[in-house]
Amino acid sequence: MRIVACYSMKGGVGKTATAVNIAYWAAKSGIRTLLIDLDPQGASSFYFRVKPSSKSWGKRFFNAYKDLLGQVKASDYDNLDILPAHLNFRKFDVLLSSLKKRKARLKKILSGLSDEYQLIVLDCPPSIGDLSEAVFVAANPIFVPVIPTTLSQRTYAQLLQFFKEKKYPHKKLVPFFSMVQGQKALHKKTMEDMRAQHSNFLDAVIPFSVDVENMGEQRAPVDVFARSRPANRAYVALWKEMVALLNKKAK
Amino acid sequence: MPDTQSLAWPVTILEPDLFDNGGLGEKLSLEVRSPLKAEDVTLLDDFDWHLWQDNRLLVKNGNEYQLLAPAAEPISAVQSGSPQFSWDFTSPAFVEALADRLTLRALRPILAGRVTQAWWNIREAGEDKIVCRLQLLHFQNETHSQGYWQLVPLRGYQQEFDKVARRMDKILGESLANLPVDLHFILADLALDDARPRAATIRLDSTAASEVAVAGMVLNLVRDAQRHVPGIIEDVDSEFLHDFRVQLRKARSLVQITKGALSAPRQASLKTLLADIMRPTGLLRDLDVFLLEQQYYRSLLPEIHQSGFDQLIRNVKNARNQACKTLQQYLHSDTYNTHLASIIDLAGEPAELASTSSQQPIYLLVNQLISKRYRKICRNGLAITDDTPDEDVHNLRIECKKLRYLLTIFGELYDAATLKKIIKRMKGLQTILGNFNDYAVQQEFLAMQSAKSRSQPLQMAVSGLIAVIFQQQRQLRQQVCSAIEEFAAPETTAIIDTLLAKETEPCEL
Repeated sequence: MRIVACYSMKGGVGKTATAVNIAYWAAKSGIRTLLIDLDPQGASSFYFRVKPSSKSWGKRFFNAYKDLLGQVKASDYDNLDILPAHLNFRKFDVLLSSLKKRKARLKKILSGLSDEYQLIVLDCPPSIGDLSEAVFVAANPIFVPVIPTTLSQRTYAQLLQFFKEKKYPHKKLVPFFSMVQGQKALHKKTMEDMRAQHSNFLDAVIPFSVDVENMGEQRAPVDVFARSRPANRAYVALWKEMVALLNKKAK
Repeated sequence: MPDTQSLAWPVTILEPDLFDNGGLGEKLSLEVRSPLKAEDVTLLDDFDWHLWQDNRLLVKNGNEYQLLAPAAEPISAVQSGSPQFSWDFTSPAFVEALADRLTLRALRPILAGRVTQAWWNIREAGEDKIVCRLQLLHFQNETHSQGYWQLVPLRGYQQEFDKVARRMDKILGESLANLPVDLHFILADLALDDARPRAATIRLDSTAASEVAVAGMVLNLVRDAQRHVPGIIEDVDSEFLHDFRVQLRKARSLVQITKGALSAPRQASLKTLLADIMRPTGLLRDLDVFLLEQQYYRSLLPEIHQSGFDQLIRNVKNARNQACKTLQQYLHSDTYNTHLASIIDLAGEPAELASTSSQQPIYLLVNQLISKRYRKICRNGLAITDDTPDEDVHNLRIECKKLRYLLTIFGELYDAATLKKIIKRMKGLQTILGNFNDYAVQQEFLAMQSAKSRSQPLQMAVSGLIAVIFQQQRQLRQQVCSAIEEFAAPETTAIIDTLLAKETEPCEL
């Protein structure tokens, strides 16, 4: 079983859209996939029309994988299940800080799901704290969407610095450009600069697209309602690169 | 990836609209996931239904083939022509999946009918979310009509599943739980297994008089041999003739080794008749054996002899076609039918019980024979050295075969686990002795083919082959002594004694 994450400490960069679409493509490729919505806003759960249980079970999240499994719901698509977010997931940082071996906790609990799933996709909240560090330990690779703007460039540099300081393997971080507007000179230049600086950027580029925005209205991955559109083709290309990377890392 | 099992409801009449228009309850609607599809299919299997026995189904629909197995993804392939053997398929996945079960047997249609299937999503109005799935699977032909509605749960939607299930219970009656509803299940439900060809069997009474038991067993073996005759006449595959000969050989061996159980004239007549009936089958079997191994023999020859080998194969194939026609004529002939009727009459005659041997309980007779045969194998086998003539090795093979026949024919008189242990110990020795004999037979066969032809390339190819096979036979000869020593080890003696339920005695050398 492989665990991957869509992470950025910056909000609104396309983490959830990426997590939803790559989990969908993984499942469509025949891979038994679980998407875990760690963001208490619950956007990816919403996109898949999955509601969390009304019970406040989040405090048991890191106790036993069977508790997790009890909260999992099937999506409308074969091979794809969702662990929907609950509002009290916002307390995860506090919860983890009270636990021993908190950084390894997420990895340990998720390993119990290896009989059920071949791939776990973590949709992470935009923060940096104990939960993020648990994700950095559990996931490999960690896909980082980057909008090619100065601010995002700075955020990515901060993440790299954090990895360096905390001695996390920076090779785990796999950035790609997201919400790209090809007509903007700033986007073009930033992409050139960042590619020159970081050789590990994926080739696939997710465009800024109304089709991605429409996921909220359609409550489905882009492929379901905009199959032949550029945004969908971009997610297919992204998934293909990701799966090649996963296979390479598996070797 | 659901936690709960599916539920199923049997349907005999196809009513795909049964749950339309809110039939499953408020706020739940049906949407087509996979539209109703009806296909005329043929089920293929070999003579013994090996695929069926292995819970697998080979389904043919036009030139599309699907291999279905429980809890596994179907293997599909488009295949032109009419593949008969596993190696006729062009899809490597099919060849691999079928080869181990079909071995040398040909595929034949065992059942035809129409399969109708469809899938629906059951959607709940609130979140507009799919909460469970419904499948219809139905099989129908002239004699059968059976199918199932299957409600499949989705993880996390147990309440919705239970609600739909209660509704379906009301409409269709109580459900059947924990059933993997697939085509195999439906066909099993139609008691298709009852139609499976089975070997002729009789129940052995261990205390029955030897004459009664032996005659009954001979009759049973001959009847079982008859099951294979239509397959020989249709020339379906080489195994029909092989199995026919094995059963008759067992019958003949049984008559021979149970001396005294049958009266001397009855024994002599049966022995002669069984030999007569088998004799016309030998040539075709020899030719079949060679052709089945042709790829191996081809691989033994260098490129320079390939054209000569091609000529040899053409000649053998022609000879095989001729031998097959001759045998088919024989199996239709009055001679065969008269001989067969005589064997059945003789074996079915009322017991005379004229001698003490004929009256003794069969288990005592078989015990004595197994013990005697085993000791003889030990005695003759351990006397064999690297210099002993090949003839003695061949005789030992025949002795082993007799013991093996006794153990298999009368297997039900003994503890199955102990019997299995002995047969396992025999296998190594029998394989070596069998191959040793096959090499000798093949050298003779090849020499005969060479003598019949004037083609120089053929004669050269044959000479080359004989030289290689002779070397292989010599190498195998060196393994004979160690294989006998292994078989004659005290462990085997102890197992034989356990089987015959008596104290261990040292093997008489």
